[in-house]
Amino acid sequence: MSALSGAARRPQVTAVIVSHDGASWLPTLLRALGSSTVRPDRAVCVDTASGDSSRALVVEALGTEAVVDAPARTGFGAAVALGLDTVDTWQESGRGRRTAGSVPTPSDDWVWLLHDDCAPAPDALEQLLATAASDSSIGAVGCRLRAWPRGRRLLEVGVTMTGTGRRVTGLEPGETDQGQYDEVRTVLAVSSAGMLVRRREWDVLNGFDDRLPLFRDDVDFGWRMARAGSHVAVSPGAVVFHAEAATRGVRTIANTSARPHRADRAAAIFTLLANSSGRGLAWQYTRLVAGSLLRAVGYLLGKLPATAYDEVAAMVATVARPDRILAARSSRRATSTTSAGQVRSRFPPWWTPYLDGLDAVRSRLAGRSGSRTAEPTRAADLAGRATVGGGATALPVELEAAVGPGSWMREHPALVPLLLLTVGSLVAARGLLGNGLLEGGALLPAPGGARDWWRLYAEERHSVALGSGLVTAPYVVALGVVGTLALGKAWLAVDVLVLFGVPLSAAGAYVATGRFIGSIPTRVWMAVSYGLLPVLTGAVTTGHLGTLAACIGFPWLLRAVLPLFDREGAPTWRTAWGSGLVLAVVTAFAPLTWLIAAVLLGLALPWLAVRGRMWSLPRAMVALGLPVVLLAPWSLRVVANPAEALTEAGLVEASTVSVADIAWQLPFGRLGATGAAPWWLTASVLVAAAAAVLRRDRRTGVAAAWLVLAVSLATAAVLSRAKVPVPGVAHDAFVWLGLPVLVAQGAAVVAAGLAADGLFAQMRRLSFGPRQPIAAAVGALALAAPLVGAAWWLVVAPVGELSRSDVTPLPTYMADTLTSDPSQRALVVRRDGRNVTFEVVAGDGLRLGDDSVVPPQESIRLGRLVADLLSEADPADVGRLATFGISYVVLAGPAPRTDVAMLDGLPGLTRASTDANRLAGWQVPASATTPVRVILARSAAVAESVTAQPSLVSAHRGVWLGAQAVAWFVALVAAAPSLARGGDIGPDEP
Amino acid sequence: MSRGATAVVAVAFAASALSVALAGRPSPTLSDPATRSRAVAVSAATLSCPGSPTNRQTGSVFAAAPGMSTEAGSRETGDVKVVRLSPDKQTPIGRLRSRGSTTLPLPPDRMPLSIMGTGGLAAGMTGAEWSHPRAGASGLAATWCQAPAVDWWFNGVRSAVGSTSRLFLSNPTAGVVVVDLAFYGGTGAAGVAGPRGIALAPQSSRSFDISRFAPGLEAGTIRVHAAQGRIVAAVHSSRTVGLRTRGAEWIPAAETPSGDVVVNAALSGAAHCCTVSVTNPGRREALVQLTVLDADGEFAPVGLTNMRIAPETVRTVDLGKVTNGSSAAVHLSSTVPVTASTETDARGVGGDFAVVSTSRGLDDPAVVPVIDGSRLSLSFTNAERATAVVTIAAVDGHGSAVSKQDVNVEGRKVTSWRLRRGSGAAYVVVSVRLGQTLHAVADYVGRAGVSALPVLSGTYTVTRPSVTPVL
Repeated sequence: MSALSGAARRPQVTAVIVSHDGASWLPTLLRALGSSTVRPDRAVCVDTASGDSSRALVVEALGTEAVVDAPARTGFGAAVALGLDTVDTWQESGRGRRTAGSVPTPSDDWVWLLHDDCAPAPDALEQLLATAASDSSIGAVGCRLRAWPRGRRLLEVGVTMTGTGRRVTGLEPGETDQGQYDEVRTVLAVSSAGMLVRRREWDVLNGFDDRLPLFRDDVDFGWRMARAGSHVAVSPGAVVFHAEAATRGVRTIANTSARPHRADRAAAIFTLLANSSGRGLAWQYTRLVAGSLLRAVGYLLGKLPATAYDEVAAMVATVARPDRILAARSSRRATSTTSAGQVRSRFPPWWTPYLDGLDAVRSRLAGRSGSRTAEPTRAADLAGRATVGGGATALPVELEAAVGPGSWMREHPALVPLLLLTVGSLVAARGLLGNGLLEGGALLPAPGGARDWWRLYAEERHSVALGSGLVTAPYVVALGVVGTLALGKAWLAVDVLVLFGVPLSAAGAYVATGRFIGSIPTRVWMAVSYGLLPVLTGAVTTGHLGTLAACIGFPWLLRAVLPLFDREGAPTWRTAWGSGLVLAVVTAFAPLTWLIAAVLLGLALPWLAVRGRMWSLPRAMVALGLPVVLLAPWSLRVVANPAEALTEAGLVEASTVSVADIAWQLPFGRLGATGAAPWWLTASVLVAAAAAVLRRDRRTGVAAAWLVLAVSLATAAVLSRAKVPVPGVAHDAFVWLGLPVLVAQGAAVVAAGLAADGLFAQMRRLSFGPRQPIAAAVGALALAAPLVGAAWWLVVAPVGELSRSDVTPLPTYMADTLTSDPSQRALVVRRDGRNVTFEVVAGDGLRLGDDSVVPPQESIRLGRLVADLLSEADPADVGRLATFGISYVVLAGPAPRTDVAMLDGLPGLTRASTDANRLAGWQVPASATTPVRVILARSAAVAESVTAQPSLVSAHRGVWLGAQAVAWFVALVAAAPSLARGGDIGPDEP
Repeated sequence: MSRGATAVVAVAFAASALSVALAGRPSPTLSDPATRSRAVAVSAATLSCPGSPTNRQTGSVFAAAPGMSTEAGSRETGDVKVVRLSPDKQTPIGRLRSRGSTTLPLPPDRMPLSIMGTGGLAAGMTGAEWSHPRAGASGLAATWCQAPAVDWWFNGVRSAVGSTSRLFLSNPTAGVVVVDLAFYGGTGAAGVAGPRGIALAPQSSRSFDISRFAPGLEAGTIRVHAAQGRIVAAVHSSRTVGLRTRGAEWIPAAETPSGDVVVNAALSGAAHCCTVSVTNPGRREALVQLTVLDADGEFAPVGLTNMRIAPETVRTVDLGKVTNGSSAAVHLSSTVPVTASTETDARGVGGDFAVVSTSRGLDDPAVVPVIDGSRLSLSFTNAERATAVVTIAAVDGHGSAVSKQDVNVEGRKVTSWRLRRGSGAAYVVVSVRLGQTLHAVADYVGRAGVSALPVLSGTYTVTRPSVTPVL
C-alpha cells in the first residue's frame, strides 16, 4: 500500500490511475497529484503493458507496491477494477475479494479515476469532494475537462448521448471556459478522466462494463447509475486538463486495433442497445442499423471509405451478437430501480441528430470544414437544455443579445427581402391558386405523383401519344427528386418551382454574389433584381419551366464556376467536379446553357493564356465535359438531333411569332411573351450595366459580365432565325429565346452590382465633382428597377397562359381504361369551323416530362384519317383507326351535329356514354384494335432509330441507368467536400 | 489589364448591338402549320328515295349525274346505281356509267330506293321520284331523293279529316339511327309532343301515319331529328273527298329555321295563290315581318306586315287576294328562327295542290328533272337588291345540252321561266353566277295534277377541314 504524504481525512479517497504508453503525460499528472490541495488517501496505478517508461515513472512516484501490471488488452474498467481489488487486498486482507452485488464497505469511500493523459488542477479533488458532499444522492462527480496542458478550451462539462449514439458534450466547437458553467449540474454522465465515484455505487454497478473496454464506458456507467437512482453531477470548480490521446489517435490502444472510430461506434451502439427500454428496443435496432448505413454513405461521399467501413463493421459486429446485448440488458435490469422514462430528460430530443445532420450537410455544402469532434450549435443548445438539476446558467445580457432574433436578422440581412418576395409570390399568384393542376403555355400538368417521373425515366418504351421509344430527358429525374422531397406530390413540386421561382432565384443570387460582392445592400439589390427576371421576361407566365429552373440554378452555377477562374489560388479538382455537376443539372432543364458555357469558355481561353493560368483549362474542360457524361444517354440523343439542344423542359410551343419585330427589346429581356412586363420596367438595369464600365477598378469583372451579356444576346440573335420541330405536331416553331435573354439580363445585373459594390465609400473619398451626381442618378435609376418591377408584379399579378384545370377531357371510365391499359388510346378531335385539331391521349394524358419523349415526327397519316372522318367517313376508316391503336374517338364539344352524325353512321363505332353537352365519344371495337404502337417518322432514318431495332441509345435501358447512377455517384463523391479526419481540433492556446 | 477590359467591353457593346440588328431582320417563314381546309370533289354519295307511297299510284325514279366538268366530251369515272334499300346485297335496277340521266319506273313492291354514286359521277348526283294516281284520282306528287341528314323540317302537314299524311323514314347508312319526332300545331296551340327514340336498323325504312301521333293537324310542322346517326325523311300528303283522292303531294323538306327566309309560291299564274304557314318552333314569341315579292317588285300586304307567332305554334295566312294569281314569293324576317311554307290549290287542275317550303339559296348548279306529261316552269326569286343572272341548260338523257339560256332576275323580284315543249330535255341544269344567290322552285303542271319541287343545288364538293395535330 502506498499513501501519498499530505492531507488524509474522511471520506477516504482512492486514486486509481490507468496507464498505457503515457510517458508523455504521466509526469505532469504525478506532479499535479503532488500539488493537490486535498490529496487522495491511497493511490494505485494499473499499467497495461506500457512499452515506454510509464511504469518506471509511476514506480518512482508511488512505489513498486502501488503499481499493478495488467495485460495490454485490458480495458479501462477492468483496469480500474484490478486496481481496486489490489487496494482492497491491502486494506482488509481478511475480508476477501468483493463481488458484484455484495454490500459495499465503507459506504462513504470514494474512488478517483485518472487517465495517464490528464492532469487535475490543484483544487480539483477538493472541489469534487465538496460537490459530492452537497447531495447524498450523488453517486459520481465529474470535472470540467479542459484542453491539455493548461488550455482554456473546454472539452467536457458532462456528457450525454443522442439516440443515434452520438456523444454530445453540449459545448460549441472550440468554446472557451469563461465561467459559463460555474454551477453544479446533473448530467447523464461524466468523463472517466477525473471522475470521482462513490465506492458503494461502483461496487453495486460492478464498475465499468467490461464489454466497453475504452469508449462509452463513462456514458454507460452514468446511464446505469441514473437508472439505479443516483445522480451524476459536474463539479464546475474541479478542472482537469485532458490530452484525449486515444481519441485523437495520438497513441494506439491495443484493444482498439488502431480503429478508434470502429471501436467508438461499436461501443455507442452497444450502449444504446444495452440500456434502451424494452419497448423501444426493436425501433432502436432498426434506427441504428439504418442510421449506420446512412452514415456510411455519408462517409463515402465525404471520401472516407475506411471510416465508412468502420461504421458498417461496428454495426454488424454489435447487432450480430444479440447474446452480448441480452446479457448486458439482464445485468442492468438487476441494478435498475427507476424507469427509463425518469432519466429521459438527461438525453437530447430524438430529432437532435437529424437536425445536426442537416446542419452538417449545410456546412459541408457551404464549403466549411468542421471538426469531427466539434459539436454543432444545436446539439450544444439542446444538450444544455437537457441537463436538469443544476439549473440553466443564465446567459449574460450581451450574449443573449448576440443570439437573439435581432442578431439573427442582422446576420442574415437578405431574410426580410426574401420573405417579402415569398409573400409577394403568393400575392402575385392569386389568380392561380386553387384546385387543379397548374398548366398552360409550355407547361404540362404534373403527373399523379413523383413516382410517375421515376417510372418515365426508367422505362424503355413510353405510352405517350402514338407510342415512343425515345430516351427520357434527365430533367425528369431532377423533377423526380424534387417531387420525392415534396412527399411524392408532383403537383406540389411544380407549384413550388413555378409560383415561387422568384424567391428561389433571388435566394440563390444572394448566396452566389457573396463570392464577389462585399456590400450587403448591393447583394440584396442584385438578388431581388435577378429574382424578378423570370416573371418580368414572361418565362413564368408562358410556363417555361426549363428557363425558370435554369434561372434558379444559374446563381449556384456561378458560385460553383467562379473558383475555376479565381485570381487567387489554384482551383481544385473538386471545384471542377462540382461545377460540372451544377452545369449538368441546369443543362438538363435548359440545354442551351451548355452551349453558352462552351462559347464562354472558348472566349475565356485568351484571358487564361494572358494571365498564365492555362492550367485551369483541364479543370474547366472537366466541368464542361461532365454534363455530357452524366446526362447520357440523353446527351447522345441530343448530339444525334442537335435541334433538341435548342429546346428545354416543357412543351415546344407551337408559336409562329418571331421576335424580329421586337428585337430591340431583347437586351431588355423581352420576347413578346404573354404576360411579360413592359420593357422599360427594367431598362434602368441595362443603363446601370452600361454605366458600370466607368468604374475603372471593377472594369475586369464588368467586362466579363458584358462578355456574357454579348454572348447571350448573340446567341439569341442567331437562334431568332432558327426553327425547331414541334414534337408530335406537323410543323416547326421558332426557338424560345428566354434562356439567353435571361442570361443577358442576369449579366447586366452582375455588371451593375459590381460597379455599385463599395461605390458609396469610393464617392465619399473623392472630392465633389460630376461623378457623384452621375453615380447618384444611375444608382437611383437602378434601385428603382426592382422596386417598380416588384410593384408591377404584385399589382398586375400576370397569369399569362397559365391556368389550373382539374377536369380530364375524357369521361372517367374512359380515362380509367386508358390509364389501366397502356396499349389503348383515345383520339380527341376538336373542331372550330373548318379548322380541326386532334391529339392522341394515352394513359392519363400528356403530363410534364412526357414532352421529352413525344416523337418529333408528325402523324400525317392520322391527320388524313381525321380529315376523312369529318368529311367523307367510310366504314373502312374504323379499321384505319384500329391500326393506330385507337380505342376511343372523342369529339370534344360542343361537337357539330353533322360530325357526330357522320361518325354515328360508321359501322363498328359504338356510341360511348358521354355528356353530350361536353363531348361525343365512340368506342372502337376491341376486335378491331390492333395492339401495336405506330410511330410515324419524318425520315426513314429516324423511324428506324425509334421503331425498328433498338439503337444503342434507346436499348439496354437498365444498363444505361446503372451506368448513369454510378457516374452520378462518382461525380457526387468527387465534388463533395472531404470530411475532416480525426485529430483536427483547432489550435489551443499555450 | 484595364486596357484589355476596356477593349472587351467595347467589343461586347458592338456585339450586342449587332445581335439586336441581326435578330431584327425579317423573320424566316415557318412550315405550313397544317393541311389547309379545301373543297374536294365528292367521291361517294348516297341518296334515298322514299318509294311509292301507296299501291294505288304509279311513278318513276329519276337519277342524274351531271358531272363536275363543264367541258364537252369529258368523262367521269365511277358509276351511279339505283338499288332497293335493303341490308342485303341488291342487284341494281338501274345504272349510269357516264354523265346523263335515267328514269326508271318505281318498283311495284313500294320499297324505298337508294341511288349510290361513286367516283366522278357522284359529284352533283341528283335523284327524284314522282308518282301519280291511277285512274279515278288526281294528284301529281314529286320529291327529291335526299342524302341522309340530322334534321328534317316539314311544313304544311295535315292530318285532319279529309287529309292523310304519312312520314317515311329511311336509313341508308351503315349505322343504327335513332329518331325523335316533334309536332307543331296551328291556332295558337302549343306544340304536340312527339314520340322519341324510333330506331332504324342500317339500310332499313319505316313509315308512320302522322295522325297516329298528331291527329287533327292543320298545316302543321314536323321536325324529324336524328338523335343518333343520319336519316332521310319524307312526308307524303293526300286529300280525299269522299272516297276519292283529290290531290297528293310530297311535302318538301324545309330548311332549318332561320330569322330570314324566302318561300316561293308554286304554280305562277295558274292557280290560286296561296296560303302561307309560318312556324315558330322556338320558346319565344316571334315577331315576323312579311314581304311579298312578285314580278313587279316587292310590297307589304296591308294587315299582314307584322305577325306575332306564339312559341311552338304555326300561323297560317291567306295571300290569295294580294298576289292576284301571279308568280310570287314571300320573304319573312323574324325576331326568332322560323320556318315557312306556301300551299297552292290548283282548283282548275283536278283539285291537286302543291306545297313549297323554305329552301337553301342556289349556289352550285342544280338539276331539275323533266316529268313526262307535265310542263316544267321555274320561278326564281331574287331576295337581294342586285340583278342576278341564272343560266338554264336543257340537257338530254345522255348529258348533252340541247339548249342554254341566261335569264336575268332583277333584285327583289320574281322571274319565271318555262321549258319549251318538245325540247327533248331529260333534265335542266340551273346555274347561278358566283356570289349570287337565288331561290327557285320548279312547278310541274299536267293532267295528273300539279307538283312543285324547290330547286336545290347539287352536292359537288365536300370540305376537308384543316387538320392539325396538337399536344
